[in-house]
Amino acid sequence: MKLREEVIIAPNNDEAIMADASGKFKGMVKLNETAAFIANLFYEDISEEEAVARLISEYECSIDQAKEAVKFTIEKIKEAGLFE
Amino acid sequence: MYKGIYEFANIKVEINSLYEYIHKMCAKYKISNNEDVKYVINITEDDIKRENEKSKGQEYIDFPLYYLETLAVYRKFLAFSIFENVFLFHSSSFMIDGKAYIITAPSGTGKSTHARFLSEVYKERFVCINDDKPLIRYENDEFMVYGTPWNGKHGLDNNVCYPLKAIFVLNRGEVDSVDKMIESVAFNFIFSQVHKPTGKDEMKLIINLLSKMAHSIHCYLLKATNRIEATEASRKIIDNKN
Repeated sequence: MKLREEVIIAPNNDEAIMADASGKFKGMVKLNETAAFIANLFYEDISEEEAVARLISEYECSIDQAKEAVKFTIEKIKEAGLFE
Repeated sequence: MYKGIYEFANIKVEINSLYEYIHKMCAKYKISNNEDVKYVINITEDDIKRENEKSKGQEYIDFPLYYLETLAVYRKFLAFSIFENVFLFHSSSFMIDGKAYIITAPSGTGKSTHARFLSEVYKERFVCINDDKPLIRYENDEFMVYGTPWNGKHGLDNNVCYPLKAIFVLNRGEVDSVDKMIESVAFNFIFSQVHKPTGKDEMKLIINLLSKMAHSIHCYLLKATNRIEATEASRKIIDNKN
């Protein structure tokens, strides 16, 4: 999975905003710190499992917590149509 | 080609158009001094064709070409204005006692109507800035609201600018009320009502500006009935001098 070329993730106070800079998707996705970390991973073409592994290496969390966080973030990105 | 030099939100721009109408429309914003003109907008047939494509699916599909050209000019202006911290906020904007206010909502909610009610209440203390597409400029840690000739169906605008004091997000209501919005909710509404230029750098700039705006400008949810008494709610904020 990989984010589309024109997707940006920008800081917004204590959160981050993910938006499409091509004009195709007019909305935006709000991300907390963990979700922003996960979303940033998908600038590379990586699998869900790889994202879970990288999240665990960065944050002190269980596998189940990491799986849930990655799944939730992927769903948000998919809903917004921001994957390639 | 028709040529003119104008100043919108402190940005000097030369417009070279295919039709004369844009120059009549922008007459209030014309300047004679062509020094420091940083930007040039050249309109082509293709620009107008693109606007025609974009307008399909809207309420009116047979826009005249000279009108589509005005949209093309504004779109081109907004593509570079973001680099000057200037962006379009879809709203009805006005000044009361030296401060600017913005009423924003989806089209047809009653922004212009509520602004008109306020003009009847405040009379000469009220000046319309722009009834549809004002420009906002972030300068010296302040958000300034500027009039533009892209002024909506009622044709209301003035070549003026005032510091922004508050934003009202208008909802039609059965009762009249006004409540302060928390910053993250305010950001959502603001984001939905501004023109987003394309391009990664442009999008990052606008998110940064809107983040500052949601943080520094008070934003209120205004529930209002379609009657002049509804202004009692917005006047609670406007008449608060703090």
